[in-house]
Amino acid sequence: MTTVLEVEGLEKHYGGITAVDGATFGIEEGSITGLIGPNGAGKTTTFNLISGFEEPDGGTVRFRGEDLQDLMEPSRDERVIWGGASAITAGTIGGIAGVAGLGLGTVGGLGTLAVGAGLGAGFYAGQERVRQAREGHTNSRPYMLAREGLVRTFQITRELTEMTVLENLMLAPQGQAGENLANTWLRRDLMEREEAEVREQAREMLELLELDHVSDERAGNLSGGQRKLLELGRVLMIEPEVILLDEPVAGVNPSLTRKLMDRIETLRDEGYTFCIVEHDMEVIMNLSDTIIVMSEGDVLVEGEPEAIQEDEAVIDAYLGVD
Amino acid sequence: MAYMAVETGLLNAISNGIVTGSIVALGAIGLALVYDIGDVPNFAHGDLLTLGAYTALLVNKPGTVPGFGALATDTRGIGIGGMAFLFAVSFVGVLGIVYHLGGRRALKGGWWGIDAPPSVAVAVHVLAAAVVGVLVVTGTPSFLAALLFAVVVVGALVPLMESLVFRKFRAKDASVAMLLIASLAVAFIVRFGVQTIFGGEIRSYQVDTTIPFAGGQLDITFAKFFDFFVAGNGFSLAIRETRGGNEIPLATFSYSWIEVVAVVAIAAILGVAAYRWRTDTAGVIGGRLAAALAVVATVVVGGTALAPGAVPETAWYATRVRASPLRIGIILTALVMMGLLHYLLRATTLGKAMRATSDNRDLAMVRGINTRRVMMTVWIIAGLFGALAGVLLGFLFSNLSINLGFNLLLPMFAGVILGGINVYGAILGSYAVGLAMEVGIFAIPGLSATYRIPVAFVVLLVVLLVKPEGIVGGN
Amino acid sequence: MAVSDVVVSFALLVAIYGVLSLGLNVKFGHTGLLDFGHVGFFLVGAYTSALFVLPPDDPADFTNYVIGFGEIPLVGTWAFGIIVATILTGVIGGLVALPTIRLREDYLAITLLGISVIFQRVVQSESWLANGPDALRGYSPPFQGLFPIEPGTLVGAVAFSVVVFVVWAVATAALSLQRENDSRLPLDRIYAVTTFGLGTRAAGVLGSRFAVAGVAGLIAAVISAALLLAASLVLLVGALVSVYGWLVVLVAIGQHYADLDRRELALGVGFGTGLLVALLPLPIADRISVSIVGTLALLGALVYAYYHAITSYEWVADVKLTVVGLGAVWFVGIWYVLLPILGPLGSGSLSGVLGTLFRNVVWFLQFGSSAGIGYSIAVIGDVTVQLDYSRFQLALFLLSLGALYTVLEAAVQSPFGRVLRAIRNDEAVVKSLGKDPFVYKVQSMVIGSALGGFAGAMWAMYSQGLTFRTGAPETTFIALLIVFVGGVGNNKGVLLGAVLYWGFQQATTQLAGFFPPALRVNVLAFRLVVVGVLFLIVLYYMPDGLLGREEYSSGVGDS
Repeated sequence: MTTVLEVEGLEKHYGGITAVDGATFGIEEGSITGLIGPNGAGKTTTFNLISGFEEPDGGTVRFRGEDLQDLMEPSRDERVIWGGASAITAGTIGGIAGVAGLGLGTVGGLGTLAVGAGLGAGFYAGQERVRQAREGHTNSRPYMLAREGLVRTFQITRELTEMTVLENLMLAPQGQAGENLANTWLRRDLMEREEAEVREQAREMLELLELDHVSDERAGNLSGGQRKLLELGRVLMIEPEVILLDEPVAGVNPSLTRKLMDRIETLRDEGYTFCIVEHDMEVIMNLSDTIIVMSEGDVLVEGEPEAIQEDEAVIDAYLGVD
Repeated sequence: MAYMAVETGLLNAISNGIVTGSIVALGAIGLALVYDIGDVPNFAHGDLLTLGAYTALLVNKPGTVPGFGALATDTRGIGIGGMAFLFAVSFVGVLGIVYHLGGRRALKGGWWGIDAPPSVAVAVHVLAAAVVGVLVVTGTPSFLAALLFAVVVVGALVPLMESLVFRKFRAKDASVAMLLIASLAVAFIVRFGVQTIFGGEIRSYQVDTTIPFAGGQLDITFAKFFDFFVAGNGFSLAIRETRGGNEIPLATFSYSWIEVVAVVAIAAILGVAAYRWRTDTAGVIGGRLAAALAVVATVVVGGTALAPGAVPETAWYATRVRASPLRIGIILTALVMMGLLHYLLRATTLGKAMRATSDNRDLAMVRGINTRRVMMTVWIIAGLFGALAGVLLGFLFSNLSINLGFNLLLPMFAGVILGGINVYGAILGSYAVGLAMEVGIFAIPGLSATYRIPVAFVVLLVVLLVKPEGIVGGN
Repeated sequence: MAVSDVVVSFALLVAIYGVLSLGLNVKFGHTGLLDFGHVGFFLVGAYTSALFVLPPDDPADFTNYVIGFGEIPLVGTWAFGIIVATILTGVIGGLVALPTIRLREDYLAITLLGISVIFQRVVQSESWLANGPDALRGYSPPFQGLFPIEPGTLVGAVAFSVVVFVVWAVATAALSLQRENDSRLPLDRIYAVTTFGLGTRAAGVLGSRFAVAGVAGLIAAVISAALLLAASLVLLVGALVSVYGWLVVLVAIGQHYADLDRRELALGVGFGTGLLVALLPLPIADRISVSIVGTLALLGALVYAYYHAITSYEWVADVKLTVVGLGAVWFVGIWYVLLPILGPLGSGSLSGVLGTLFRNVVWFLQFGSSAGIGYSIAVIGDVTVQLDYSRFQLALFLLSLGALYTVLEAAVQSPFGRVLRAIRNDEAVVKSLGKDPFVYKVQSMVIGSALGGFAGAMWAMYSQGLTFRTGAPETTFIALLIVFVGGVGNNKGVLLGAVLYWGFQQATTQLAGFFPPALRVNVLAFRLVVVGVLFLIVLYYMPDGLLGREEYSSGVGDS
């Protein structure tokens, strides 16, 4: 087995408060790892850090051996937008300066405009560095991780309440041709073919999750348990490698919880990797292959469920004894 | 002939900037309170200024107000019917303001914060309302009466926005976007409501601008020149005015360097002392305010006592600033109003409740604070200050147009956001924006006065992009 | 004035504001970007396109502008100007979006409002740029030189047939929709005739009903061009097209209200009549104050009665909007068709009555102007008819609107549109699903702003003179209102909203005619107060608009 997600010396501070303090652990491919700990142990913050939703103050996270920060470089679309904007702006300024300042006339102005655009595109390379340096620590790009196969769910389910259940699922698949504006006009046939496939895929997923009877319902009208299922289905539609589940069974009734656990185990056997934060001890102990116990921002113990249940330090941490 | 000082645009721009900042600040106070406590980014706030400015016309030029003209004798005089009308409106306005603070119970003194017999409270309220009514009627058509009338009427009308519109939207859990759009609709209603009554023509106040002053006559709209001289033996200030092509000196203040040093030293010492004395107290006058007051008091007292002297024959440096008493009056009015607001926020039960609600509304509710009353207070203050700003603006510009207030909306928003959406920050932010507007127009060549508002906006944009939480305060 | 002339001037504005509001709907309705500065793009589009058709600036005259491309072949045309205006505003929209799009929604609204104010101030104060605070004039709208048309010439026939094409295609498309409902009228047979047999035989080949309508329109256009060239049969063709149009409109009204029972019909008619009665004091009372008070009191009573009825009777509440719609139709019918013939009827002039009716029926043509072709008709007497420029312009505008609407629908009825709606709903989800909201928001701003620029160019054609007031923030407000009335995020609703808003404006403009000129400003301002109040009511009671949010779950690939 290989370690697909490696966390090393992770740190995160909010003002004077340290939420994560040097946590180090690894997640094995094709396993279910449970992440537990008392309230305030830093589980959710860790989750946000390893899913790219927050930027760590120290330490590294590696996904398949690559640093998360490198994976979150701007996408090609984003680079095109910024590069184009730089070229246009520099070109316009150059053109106006050429006509107004140098008195070049229209032809000369157009020439200057072209030169300006070229300069702008060149300038972009440097400007992009500046922008990254400025925004590097304020704008994480979690969507880049989802494209790489690392996805998460939210503790409080966040479904698109105004869209139907089916649409919620159809949104998920990566690289749909119809998500490109030009294709919606020029490659309509391709788009429609793909859309039919995605719809079919979504319907299968709904059947699998036994949500097919509510497929045209707005997601906002679903019950709490159904929302959890929908959210699981949505990340599965991405066909990811690693799935981070934040309290997947909180508020779900026991029979549905049972079903969800079975589903997760089946998926694990199919090769998916899970990392789960969960407060329900029975569920997490039954489900997990490995348990990581966090306390005060650091990993306290790591091991198999049976061993964890016996561990004195864990019991102390939960009882709040120093 | 004494040495002449040459006007410098920069200092003039700064002095104009302080005047503009004062008016923006008066408007921004209400905007910030409503934004902060009421959670409404109120796009109708600019039009409150317009409403106030036009309401003042009812007293200042009753004969020109359509419909109301029937009760007037001529452009500025009113008959007995008009008097009764103005009295009734002012009377109802004052009681209306009180009523907004909690209905009948408020009229019986429910908002006083102290236990008073209901009959006393009612009597006090009625008496106050009657006094305001009498002041307005006897003062007609003077500018001050018009100002008072506008402030009372708008102060009573504006809370209706909350109770008729925004409270209902909030009860439906409307999003911020919804509240924004609703406020835009309210802005539309107010602006064109004013136009429905007053029509499209541009109007102006008629104010007797000459007041008796120090034995002579002083026209407050005429610019006075403040000449500053820095010479070998000291520092002097001469105030002059132009009349009939001649410059007439009005007053001269002259100080030797020793005097200057002494006053500065004393001011510094007193300032530090006052700061030490008042800091860490939760009272009305905190450390910084005490220090500022001490310094100002020292400079004024010292400056007046040591004033005698003449303008030097030559100077190392001389400069001239232009300012009219009206502009100085606007600055002082704004300062006085801010002082009153500060007192209200710091020393009264209502003010403390407002601050608590601003910090954390849920907690305030749990602690038994009447958040609805707080909300209404906020809107009343927005109305009072907005009307004041509008009337002053109308006077300063000497014309009233339907876009008067809307044009000031962006600078006000800039001030509020610059200040981090809280009332003290908004005051500071507004002065920063006012200064930026005037100095920007002066400093950037080729920029006409039309660009005042864009300059304010550019300041806002830069702040939003660089430090969205504002220059004051963390969150 | 005949009904049609009123409708034409109204429809021109509907088309312009339809495009403008569609643009805002992309930004706000679909993506949730609250652009309070949408009018800024309208302004830039208007001025840009105007500078493309203006001749080079003459330093000797009173107008000054920076550049005029009007004399360069190809470049100095409206078509080129509109394309450049659209692209330019799209680019500006994108550039504006880059730094601002990450802001909180209230900050974004303020920022975009500020940017539009800057655009307006620049136009206002830079007199070298586009004549500064004064109006920019001196250009004429596209093809205006061809009018009044010469029916015997080729250009004249082509211009005429363009309008025929648009009307015929629209009417045929509408008829093909009506055909699906039960009707006592032989709609199938009529459809077969008006599609020249295509509708029944070639439907399979042509595909959708819109393709059939387009081809039918084309055939009708060719036929009418031939008739004009051969025999200058302006009145005949005009009358045929007019009758076809009336047929479709009347069938539409009939079908729309077919489900109402008798008491509901009576209620609607009563509402319309009540509206008419409420306006009676205006022409009757001598004193303006009496008529205002009387009308307002009666209107108040009507509104109260309506409110009372919808709150106390359930069956009224169920049809509350239908009643208003029916009342409006009834009102319009009486106001424009019945009232104008009262005068001639009173004086017993049969030819006057028939003449008025005839002018109203043959809406395709303009009557009574100096230019045109004279006919002598039995009983009615001599008439002069022509196809005026505004009808031609309307045809162009409707074509543009239709094309843009189609292109836009294609963009939003797709996975792309789905991502936009997901962003409006919850951006974090979109991020967690591997999609970059930034990229989509920028594209949304580009499309929306480009539509705003296109609408601006249309405005430049329509108004034939631009001032910086073109960029007044009120315009954004109106576009927002239109979006909300029809349905946020619903393109069809936006078109309905534009129709309703301008319908209201048109109706109230007529009323302003009853007031002395000195009071016009006040009356027009009061109208905007009413608009503001109605907007609040819509926001509060129907935040999803009349048509509601569109359901997209059965988008493409599901048919």
